[in-house]
Amino acid sequence: MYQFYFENLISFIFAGLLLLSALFMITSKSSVHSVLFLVLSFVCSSILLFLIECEFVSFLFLIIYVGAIAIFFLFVVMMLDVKISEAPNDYIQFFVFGFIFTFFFILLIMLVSSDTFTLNSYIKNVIHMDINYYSNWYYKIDYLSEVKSLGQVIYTFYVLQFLIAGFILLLAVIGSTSLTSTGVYIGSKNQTPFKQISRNLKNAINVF
Amino acid sequence: MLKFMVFIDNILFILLSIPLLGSLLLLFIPSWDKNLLKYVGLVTTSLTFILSLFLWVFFDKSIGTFQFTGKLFWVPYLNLNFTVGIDGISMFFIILTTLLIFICLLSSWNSVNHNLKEYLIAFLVMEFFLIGVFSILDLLLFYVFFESVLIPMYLIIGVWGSRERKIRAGYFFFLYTLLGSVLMLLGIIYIYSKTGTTDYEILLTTLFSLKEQKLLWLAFFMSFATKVPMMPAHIWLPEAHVEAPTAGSVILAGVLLKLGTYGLIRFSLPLFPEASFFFTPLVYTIAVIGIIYTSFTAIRQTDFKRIIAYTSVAHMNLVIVGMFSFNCIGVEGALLQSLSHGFVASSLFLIIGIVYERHHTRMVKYYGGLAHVMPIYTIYFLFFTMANIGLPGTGSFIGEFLILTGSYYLNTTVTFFSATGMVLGGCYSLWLFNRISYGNLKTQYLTHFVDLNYREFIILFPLFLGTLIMGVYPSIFLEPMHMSVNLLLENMNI
Amino acid sequence: MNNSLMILKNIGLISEMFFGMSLIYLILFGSVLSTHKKYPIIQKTILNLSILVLFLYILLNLNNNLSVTGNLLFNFTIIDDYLSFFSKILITSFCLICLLVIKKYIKDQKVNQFEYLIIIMISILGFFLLCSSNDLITAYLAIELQSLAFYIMAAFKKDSFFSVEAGLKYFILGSFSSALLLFGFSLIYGLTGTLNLTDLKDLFFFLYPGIDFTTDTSFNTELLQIALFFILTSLLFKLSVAPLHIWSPDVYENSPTSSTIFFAVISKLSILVFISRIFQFSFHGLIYNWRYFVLLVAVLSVIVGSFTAISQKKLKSLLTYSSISHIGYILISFSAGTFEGIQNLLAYLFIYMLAGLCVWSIFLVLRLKKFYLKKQNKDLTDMSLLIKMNSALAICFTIVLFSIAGFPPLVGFFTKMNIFLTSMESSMYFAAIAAILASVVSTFYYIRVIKILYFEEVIVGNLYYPLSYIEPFIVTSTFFCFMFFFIDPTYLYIISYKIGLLFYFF
Repeated sequence: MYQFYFENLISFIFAGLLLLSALFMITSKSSVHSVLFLVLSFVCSSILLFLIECEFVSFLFLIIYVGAIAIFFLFVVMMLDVKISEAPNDYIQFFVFGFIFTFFFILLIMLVSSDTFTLNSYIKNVIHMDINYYSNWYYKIDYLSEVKSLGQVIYTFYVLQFLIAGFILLLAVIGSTSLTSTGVYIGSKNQTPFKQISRNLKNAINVF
Repeated sequence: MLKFMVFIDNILFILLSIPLLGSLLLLFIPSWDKNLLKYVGLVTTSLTFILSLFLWVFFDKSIGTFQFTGKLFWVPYLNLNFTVGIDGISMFFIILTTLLIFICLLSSWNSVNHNLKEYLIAFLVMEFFLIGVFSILDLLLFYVFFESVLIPMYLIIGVWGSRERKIRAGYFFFLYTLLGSVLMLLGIIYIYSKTGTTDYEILLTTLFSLKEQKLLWLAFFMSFATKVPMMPAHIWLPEAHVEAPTAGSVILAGVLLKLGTYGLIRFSLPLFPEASFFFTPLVYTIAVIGIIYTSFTAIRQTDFKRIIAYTSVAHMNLVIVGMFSFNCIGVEGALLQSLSHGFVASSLFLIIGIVYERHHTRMVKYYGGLAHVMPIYTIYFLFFTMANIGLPGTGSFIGEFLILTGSYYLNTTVTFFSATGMVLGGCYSLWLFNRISYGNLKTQYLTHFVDLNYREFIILFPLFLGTLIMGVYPSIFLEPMHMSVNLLLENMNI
Repeated sequence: MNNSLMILKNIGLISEMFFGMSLIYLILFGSVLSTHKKYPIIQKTILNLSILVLFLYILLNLNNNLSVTGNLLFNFTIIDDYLSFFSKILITSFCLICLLVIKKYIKDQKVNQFEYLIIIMISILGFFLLCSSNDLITAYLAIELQSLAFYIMAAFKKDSFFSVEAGLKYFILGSFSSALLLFGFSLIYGLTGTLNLTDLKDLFFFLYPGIDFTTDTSFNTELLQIALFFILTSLLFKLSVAPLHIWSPDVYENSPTSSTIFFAVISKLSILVFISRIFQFSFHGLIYNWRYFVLLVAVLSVIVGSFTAISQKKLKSLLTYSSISHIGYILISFSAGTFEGIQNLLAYLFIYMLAGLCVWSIFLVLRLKKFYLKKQNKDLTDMSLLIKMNSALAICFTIVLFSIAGFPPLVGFFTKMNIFLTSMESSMYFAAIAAILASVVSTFYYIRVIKILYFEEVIVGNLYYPLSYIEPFIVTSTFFCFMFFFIDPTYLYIISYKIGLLFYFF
């Protein structure tokens, strides 16, 4: 069983916070609240990752998930202008089906994984721990953080992959601008749907 | 003299290349110059026919192995080479092919008006494929040529056919034959994967186990049975015949039906002898049912061409009965019957074509009393009807007699039932001839009658002569076959 | 095999670097020029320049000094051997021809933004990187590059609902499959600790077909099998085999035909090369884990492709379903796992691409005159009596269709026969029988197209615009290449033999 150690208190707190915020996100009636809870759950998972010494991934979570995806959600919520959502009355049945489905999926993965990974039996006999935990004394003196080590590898050994990723971003920029913008042609007579839709009653009609 | 012998040695390659060169030449002639097109086509096919007669003249009757052999290297990686050679079995089929294509071109002199160039090119290409089928000694290339015949025939039925259901007939023809043949392709691939070669002369020396032989025999039989055609895969034949133009029907009945029987005797019998013997009861049953059923069906038909199509089915099933009798008499009778059927059925289709060209209908009820106004036509019609029945004096009698004698050795019941097929043959043939030629002229339907002209007389005359000679002195045709058939039967180890 | 990062004597991937740099120059040139005073339309210029870049790429690649075993570059993540060389040359030459053919189409359909061609070139760069990747991460990045470019190409005609819908469908489903791919890759990394294909081959070399897992308990392969299934599912999704094929007729039909020619003809090669590298080279020891799955999918896709195409009324959907069944045939020979399997895969793929190029270029050059200006997606009956209107094109079309159907005297028959030969030699008899019967069914709709071309019941056919100078040249030269392989198929066999040796060399 996973025992309660004092070192794990922080991870318990943030894991519980993550579960709570995920639960509130799906059950809250206002969409803006949902998005804010989403941001909170991303931040909590980022801190959890920080605790297991994966700093790079936690930074990635903050930059990509909070900085891009949650902002994207906010834009959509802003544009669609949904204030309060009415939950359907029989939403319990979806929970049942989802629960069964998820349960079997997780069960399958766990059954297969537990046969594949085994515990380190030396630790079990000597230190009475049930988890694979070991401390590396060199880390107390000379610690190369994950971001630094990734940087040392990406820009030297895997530089080609880095360049390809750059090309993908370039493609995304070119593609999105060419798909959405129609260009500004001086003197051409074409319609701009944005201006047409954004008329409202106040500035459309002048009543003297 | 030496040059002439070199010419004779390579005569099969020359025979294969002349139709191709002719069609290539036809491509360069403009399509409005119809006369030139027709004359070039005629010269090409007559040249091919005369050269194929050289095959007969220089044939050595005392050996049973392959003559005039030649080899062209094509894909050495797959061990696939263009090996040609003929023996007594295939020589006559080649001569039949070239003669019938020549007659076809003559018979469509006035009746094909649109797309004449493509028509002639299709026929010449089909001649190339047909000569290839009968002379190639490589299993995979035989299959390639066997299937390639379908393409020009499909186009001929579809474009120059005569009625509205021609597209459906084209589909039937194509897909029926293709479905049977793909199983043969699997069999060939299996043989290639086990022996590493598809060369026929090497395969003759290989032994397959009984289980392999049975499965491979069945795969090959699927393909050949559809082409013969045997019950119940015979449905494509009447459809194809009534929709095809006259020349298409002639070549279909004259040569394309022989492909199935040729394939059986060339590939199924020698390569899988024990399986052939094992499946003989099956083959006999299907063949006898085919003879009797199709003869009965032919009595009920109202379309002239359909009657002759059903008689073709009956005759070819009789050939199958003879072929599976495993003695020299039966097999030679089968081969002679296929040859004479080639002559007789083609000439009957030509006869139909003659009246169709004049009156544009094939329904029997519109014709009557033609003997009064078209006497020469009636003489030909009578002779060929008698040949169809199997009257002594015509080639069909010799063929049927030999077949029945040969199969009597093996199984008397089958002989009895096949002989009743002859009686039924007399029934519908005589009734057909009676209705059309004798009686009163049906002037409420047709008023204007013209007898045969010179061209039509010429196209029927060689077939008439061939059938007569085959009936009176069949040794001319049987002697070259003796050694080859004996060799084949001896090597079957039964 | 020497590992070189950048040795000046032997700079790896120099042709791709040239390609990337010239692409950036093209982008700069295009964006500066197209926003100039009068906003000129520079499609033709950029297209000609792209053709020049591709041609120079071929020249650079041909001067590669290839060793027999192949060079591993960039920290063992890029492999430079005969397979990558062959596939790059093939892709480049076919893309050249495709670009030439779509010139008139782009001008007609008023696709006026030059970025279209830039995106096509970037997708070609993705192909190159995928063909020469020895590492799972490089392959994933290359697949993403190529797929992203395809999503944009499918959605490029902004004023057509169909095109936008196609792009959206393709984007969502393609990203989903890329996610599955990444999951499979991460499972492999978790289990083995390496992402390199050569290292994976070294790891599993002791597993050979026939090893008894019950007595030898040193390695448990079940999670690895799940990982392989995820990867296989995702890659087969991108190849559009059944039952993962439902997106492809919608996407191919609705996107502009100049994009569809790239989807249908060229995208299959690189993904099949990558699948061969993973499964035949690295995980060949685990062949019994993935073999029957691939065989089942292959036979299913042959049957689905043959039967569903009978009811199609549009030519593009017909060609899409026929390509589904062709990929099924290829996968039958791939699942045999033998040397001839890879050899016949490559030969069939080459003939399929050549025939596809021929057919799609004929499809592109025919432009109807009578309809409202934009409709170019042809129904089947739009080609009635083509033999009267343009008989050379009709004859080319007929012969290529007969070869696609696998009909005897043409080269498609020989390649199909080789596929059945492979399956017979590996004793997969039922698969061969099912596939060959389905191929008879598929012959029906090819003959139906020929029937429409030749003897339809209408009095006159449709009217077409006359062809310009370059298009008939392209059609006839591809047709000539096609007939050439019928006369001498030995070249095909020798080249695929040499490539097949690579998988069994070590």
